[in-house]
Amino acid sequence: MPMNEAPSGAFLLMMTLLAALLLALSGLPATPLYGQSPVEGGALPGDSVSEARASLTPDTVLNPPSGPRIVMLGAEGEGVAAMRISVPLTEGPVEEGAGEVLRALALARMQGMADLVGARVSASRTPWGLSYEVEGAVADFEYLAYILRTAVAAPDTAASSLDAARHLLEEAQARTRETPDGKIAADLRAAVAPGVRPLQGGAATLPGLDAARIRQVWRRSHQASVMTLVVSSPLVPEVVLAATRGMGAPEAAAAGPLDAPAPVDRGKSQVQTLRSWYGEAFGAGPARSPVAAVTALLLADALTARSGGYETQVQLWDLPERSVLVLTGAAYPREAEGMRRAVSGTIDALRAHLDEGAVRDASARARADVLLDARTPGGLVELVGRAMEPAGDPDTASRRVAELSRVGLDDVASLLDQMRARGPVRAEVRP
Amino acid sequence: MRRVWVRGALVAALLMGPMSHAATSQEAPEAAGVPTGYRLTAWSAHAHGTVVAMVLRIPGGSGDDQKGFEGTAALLAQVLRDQAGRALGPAAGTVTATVDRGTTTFTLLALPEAWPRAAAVADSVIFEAPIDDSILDRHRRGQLARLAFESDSPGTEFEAEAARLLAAPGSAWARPIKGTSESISAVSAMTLELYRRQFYRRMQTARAIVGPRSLLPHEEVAPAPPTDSVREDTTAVGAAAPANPRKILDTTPTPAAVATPIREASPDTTPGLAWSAGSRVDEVQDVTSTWIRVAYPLSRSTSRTAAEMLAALVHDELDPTPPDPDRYGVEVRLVDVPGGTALVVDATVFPEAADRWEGKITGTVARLASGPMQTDLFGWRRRRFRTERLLDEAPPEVEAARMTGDLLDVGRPRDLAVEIWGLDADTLYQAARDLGQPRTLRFGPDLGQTHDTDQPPSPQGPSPRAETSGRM
Repeated sequence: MPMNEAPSGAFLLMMTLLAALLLALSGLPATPLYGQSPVEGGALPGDSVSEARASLTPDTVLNPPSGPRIVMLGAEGEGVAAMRISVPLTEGPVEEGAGEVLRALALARMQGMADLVGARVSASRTPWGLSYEVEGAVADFEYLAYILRTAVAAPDTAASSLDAARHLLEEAQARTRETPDGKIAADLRAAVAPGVRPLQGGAATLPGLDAARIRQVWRRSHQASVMTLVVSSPLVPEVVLAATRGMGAPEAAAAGPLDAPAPVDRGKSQVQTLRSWYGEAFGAGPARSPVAAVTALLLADALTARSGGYETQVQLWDLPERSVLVLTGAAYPREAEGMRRAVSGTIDALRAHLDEGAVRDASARARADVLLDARTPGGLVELVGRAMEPAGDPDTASRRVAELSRVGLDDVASLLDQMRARGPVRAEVRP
Repeated sequence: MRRVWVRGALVAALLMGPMSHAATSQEAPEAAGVPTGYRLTAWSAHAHGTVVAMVLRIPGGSGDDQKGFEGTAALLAQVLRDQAGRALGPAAGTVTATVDRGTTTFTLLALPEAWPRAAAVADSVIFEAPIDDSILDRHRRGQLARLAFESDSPGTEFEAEAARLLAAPGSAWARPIKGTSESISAVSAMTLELYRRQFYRRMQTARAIVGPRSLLPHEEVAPAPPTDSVREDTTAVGAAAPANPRKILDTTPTPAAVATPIREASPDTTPGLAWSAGSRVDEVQDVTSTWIRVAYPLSRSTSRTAAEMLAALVHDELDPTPPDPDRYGVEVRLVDVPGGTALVVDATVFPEAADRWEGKITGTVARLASGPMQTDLFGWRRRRFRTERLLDEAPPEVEAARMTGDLLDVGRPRDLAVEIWGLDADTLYQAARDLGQPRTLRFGPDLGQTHDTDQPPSPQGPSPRAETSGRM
């Protein structure tokens, strides 16, 4: 099929009939198809966002036998469709960074195809795997699906493409080693979650990411049966099903990641900085904790109020098993001690002045941030798809909005007390 | 091919039945609590209902500032934005404001269940609340500090000269949006109040609300009939019960008012075009890049959608991927100017490449005006343009802002997908051919260039007269 043409009607008809035949053969009732997700309804007491939450709740979940699993979010009108496909990926020690290389290779191919029709594409490496996203006109839906099909197809491991992707990875690794903010983040991550390896791998594993290994990781991970496709469009599920059949690698015998030990990274890099950088990281409960999200906003307010003449930042890291709250600052020598005091004292200061109104406002802001992010089709599939990645539950995003609504003073106070009791891990980079 | 698509989709529909979300659409309740008093309100059901956007476009901008009080419109909008934000609180919604030369726009983003109250609060603050002196004072001091910082900036100089290029000599339209140190110092709460009394009138304000379908007033929802081409297009991809939920509400008793634009053409307008004679200004400045503005008046017979696609085509030709290494940036846009609309190209380039770039700009327009594009090529460009526009308008506040502009201009919001698909190569060719003579501004160092180019001459007529001024 030429890349700049819509698929033919005959193709669509054939695929639609094929989809209908599959449905009939499956022996399952026509509606819902392959089972429908439970729809969580009703507003929580005091929850003023029930309608907005409903937009985050999938209409239909299809589980075709050969995958991918399809999660559909209905949309009004005939304007924009968005799709996000996620692929679980666990790298073995010698494969670290392979996901990043696959991401870069796929994005380069997607971008060229998307430019032809004005569509937007992106690809991300998350702690749980890889995701590919495309957004464009509903009328171009078949072509958008074709772009996604290309994204999850066998990577182009020709020398020129692979070298370019590896070069991008090398640059990302260098930024972590050689920039103060990258170094602080890496040191804090290693200290607070020693079992969690960096997604971009290390300099020692890079030479081993050759064409054979990249294809091996792709073949193992990119199988349709384990993929999840989140779709926002006004189209009927059968059309989506027809457009997305046959994605990914051919079925292969299950194989795990290579567990050979990783080569030791002995490279040393000197960070050049004019400012002092200091950071503290705290374990903040389970992964994707709503209490941690609200607390992060409160800490950001408190740290801003205590700061002056230097840069400070609060980050919430979603690691596979836990949430981590990170406070960092950077200051020229004259302000370095003040910055350090501000970073170190913020949690105590917040705990001392914590009040119900501030928590309520922060909870509402956190909720509003989620819903604002989801106000476009692309934002919606990103939010719902990303929320599903850890456990595969399609209602996670909707539930998260409700959970954010329920965060109260006692929850935040309790988390702050736990963080203070356990204490932080610290990292520092000096000029 | 289209017939086959339609047939395929019909088979699919027969096999599968309606889609769940279409079947479960709620009955739209009355728009309880939504402020009234607006003559023109457009509603649109957004693809998703996570937030509601309400945009108010007031037909008064910096061009309406009184002489000696330039910056009034901008200062007023900033103050009211902050007052509205404070009244709403951090969780109820956000209000932003922008001021251009002809209009002032306020945008409210709120959660669906909170929005009627948020809309009422924003409405009352914007139109009725007394000006808060402390907020005005804070903004006035901030504005004075910014103006001091930007004084003698070549960017400010270019902006002023570029505005003058598009208006008649001495036109109030070209006054500085942000004002001057003297004018901002002179602005008081009374100045703002007088401006508000004159221009902030609900009956003259265009309002657009984009949000969940359930917010659409029930009795007013009446899908606009799609054109044949669009019906085929949407059916072809299997859309379930396609409906266009966009609707104009006219709260006055006279239905005819719906189609009446609020902003009337100025009486001194040259028939058909914003200007009839081209011009050229060369401003010599000791800066490291050259800024070029070339502006063409659009014929009033050119539809807004055709003009937007023409601008997109010009941009794509001038700034392909990979970009020209001699350019820092290229922007092509439509600007509403006194008496009409202009297609404006702004390019920032290496000084040595200025002649070539000026020729590139005029040559691109000349090529588009030399004949219709091939049908296949046009079809592909139209498809790409449609997607880009739809993606641009995916955020509800962007769609709402565009709809208010449509209300002021033509009295109704456009259905973009329909209108874009209705364009053809001849329409675009006609739009390019009907462009008037360009006005050109070159702003940069004098390298002794001649302004001769190797591009074909402009179809819009002979070279305009040249004016050169210098300031080193």
